[in-house]
Amino acid sequence: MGDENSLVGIRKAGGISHRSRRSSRFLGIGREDLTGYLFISPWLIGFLAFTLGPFLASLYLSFSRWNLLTPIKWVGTANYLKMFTDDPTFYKSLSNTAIYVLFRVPGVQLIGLALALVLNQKLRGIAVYRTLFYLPSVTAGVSTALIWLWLFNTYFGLINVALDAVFGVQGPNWLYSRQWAMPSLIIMGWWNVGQPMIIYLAGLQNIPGHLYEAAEIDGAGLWAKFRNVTIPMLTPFVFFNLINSGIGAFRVFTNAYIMTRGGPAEATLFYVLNLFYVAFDDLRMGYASALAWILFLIILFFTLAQVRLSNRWVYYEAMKPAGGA
Amino acid sequence: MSHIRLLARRRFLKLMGLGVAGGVLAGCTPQVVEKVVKETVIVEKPVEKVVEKEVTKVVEKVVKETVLVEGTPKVVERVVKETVIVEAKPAPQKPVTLRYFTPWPRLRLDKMQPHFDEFIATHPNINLVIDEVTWDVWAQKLSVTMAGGVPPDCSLMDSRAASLYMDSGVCMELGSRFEADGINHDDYLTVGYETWCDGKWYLAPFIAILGVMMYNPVMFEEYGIPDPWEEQGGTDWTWEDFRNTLKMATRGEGMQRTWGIHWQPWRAYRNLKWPVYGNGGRWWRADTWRYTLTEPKNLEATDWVMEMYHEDGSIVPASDASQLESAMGMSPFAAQRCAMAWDDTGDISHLVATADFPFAIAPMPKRDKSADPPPIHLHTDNHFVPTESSQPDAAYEFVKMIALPGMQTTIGIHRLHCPALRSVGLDKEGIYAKPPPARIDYLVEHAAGESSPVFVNPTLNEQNRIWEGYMDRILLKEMSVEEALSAAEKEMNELLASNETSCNWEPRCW
Repeated sequence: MGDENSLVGIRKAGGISHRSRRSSRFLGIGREDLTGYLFISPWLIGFLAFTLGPFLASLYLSFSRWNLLTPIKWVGTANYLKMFTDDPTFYKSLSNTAIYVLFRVPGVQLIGLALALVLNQKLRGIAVYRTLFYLPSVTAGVSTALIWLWLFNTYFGLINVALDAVFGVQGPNWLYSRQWAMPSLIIMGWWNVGQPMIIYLAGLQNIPGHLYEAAEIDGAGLWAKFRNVTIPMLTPFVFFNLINSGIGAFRVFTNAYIMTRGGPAEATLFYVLNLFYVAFDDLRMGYASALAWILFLIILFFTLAQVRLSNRWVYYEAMKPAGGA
Repeated sequence: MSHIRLLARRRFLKLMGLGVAGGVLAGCTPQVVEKVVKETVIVEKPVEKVVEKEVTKVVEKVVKETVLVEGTPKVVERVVKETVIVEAKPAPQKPVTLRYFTPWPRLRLDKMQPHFDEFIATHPNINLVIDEVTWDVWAQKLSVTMAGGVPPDCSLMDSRAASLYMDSGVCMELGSRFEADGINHDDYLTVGYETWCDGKWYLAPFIAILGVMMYNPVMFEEYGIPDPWEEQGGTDWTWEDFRNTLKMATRGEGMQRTWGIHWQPWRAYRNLKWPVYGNGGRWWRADTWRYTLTEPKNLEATDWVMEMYHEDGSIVPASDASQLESAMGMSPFAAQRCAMAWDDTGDISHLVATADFPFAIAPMPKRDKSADPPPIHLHTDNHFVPTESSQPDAAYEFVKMIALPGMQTTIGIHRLHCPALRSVGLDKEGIYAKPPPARIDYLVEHAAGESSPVFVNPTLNEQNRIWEGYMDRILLKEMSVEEALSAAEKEMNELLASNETSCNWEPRCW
């Protein structure tokens, strides 16, 4: 009796006894944790069924031969060996993708930041401009690609018509010449800057005003303020955008699939487009899975490298709340 | 303590009495028959018609027979068992759902709908579900449903995928059923490799796709180009005549430019066959089952086409064709930007709908006047029933219905495509009846002659992509014809050799 009374006393006092903790556990998980898991269970189930499952399956498939119609056949490392020793298309698509990443990612950062700086001004109707510039990011990729197909049209496209009208020059055969097809897709990629722009805008608005005031007192001009205050304070956002847009650029697919189909003469055959053809045109699922895993490792390597290097240039003080210690 | 149970005296006497009494009774019973009939007589009755379901029934029958009982004939009755096959009343069939998978657009399916309705009326237990997908995702979706173990009950099958599916053993053999139903393969414009494998007929015929050369008589007249039929020798039209004609139609610059022909020679496996085969070359050889791209006749014909492309500029480049098409919503030929067109889709009906001028069928140019006309390009789209189909019988009935004259005539009349049934597909009053492109007779005669099928094999898609890639390099002047075709041939034959095919691809009808 005495024990029970003391337990009641502990409960009443708001303490948690050993017994009460045990009674609120289910399968070793606390009631509170369980509630949390239940709340995230839709996502968790989706992740296990539609992400982790296929992820592991593709790892197994990458060591197999499978055309979707006949049973899966284990081939060991044959797919990887073929990829590195006997598949020029693999290297071609990889180099095309690398060129695209190299030009697209920095371009997007610069344009996104420039737009964010402009849209950070206190102007009348600025919200409308922000919406307009962000709009391409929420427009379906296929629609955007079709619009650009029109813009790049050699004879009727707005770009060539403008080049002719303003500069009196005959514009190139954008999407159908080997020299211009890749630049066309890079230019198109630069235009899709809504997401980094919004993130930079958020970063800009997060910079405390007193830093600029202090810089002004020290006699800093516009450029000095930008270089010594804005850029350092934005580095965490630059870091995030670099990783995000880098991953996106490695996975470029829709524009090339809709506009060039990888041509002319494989000039725009990107890695994922090649993977798609291997998987769904040739039905070589095993080889396509191996391609996917190599891409995953490449992206992982670049992401980890950026994380490692970020210590040298990302100014994390910027992430602390204004006025914080 | 003993476990032996002793029989009591009284009980022993009782049992003995019963035994003696029984023996006396048995001894007093008169003998009735001399023999015991033990055999069972099985009477087989011929079944006059095929019944829905055979039922074997054992009938007990009383038979009278005369036997000798103690030397005296006596009629006795005995029971024999008879096994007969009786016609059962057709049991009510279970309702089934038949899933038909097709990339054909609703516009065409609507024209076919009366036959679907009739099929449902004659098979009231079948609930027909048509899964419509677009061409660009059709192949992917079909293969994924197959892999997922939920295949459709029947589906369209194009010539590129057919061999892979047959090779993988996922197509139900239909030949024996067709034979039982009196359907003859030779009545159809089908190409052996696309429907047959290991001597078995797997695919139900649907449509035939013919290569056709067309010209615009209005542009010819406007540009002062002699008509190939009236002024250039008709069926004796030569390569030289053809090239001169294209040159005459090529003029202007920029947005005013017109070209001789809309032709896609980079898709060489289809679109370069007529000059190659007309020159006596062959892209591939059935006896060795290998590509032969570098045969001298092939190189010569390809060089000739590339001269027209590079030197004459009379073949509209891919970029211009594609951009004109997207800008004008119709092909460069229909938009009167090209005086001629080579079409490998066989979809003349589409052209009839979009072109607002009376186009005509051109003769196929020959190497020289003494040469034979080139064989016509032909490939087919068919139907298949997956071996995993949950309703194979219903599916067979459905694909058979599509191959029968009723549906085939409808496909022809509405110009949905060229029907595979030879008598309908080559009927001048059928698909080409209203308004007939001029000189349609020539196409019909040409199609009835020798055909040059596609080299279908399980890795065809991959091979064609390799081939197109090298053709692109010729067009971009990065490689010569010989260099490009040599490289393509090597890669494609290596792929062919490394592919594990289980089928014996015996040619059937070409």
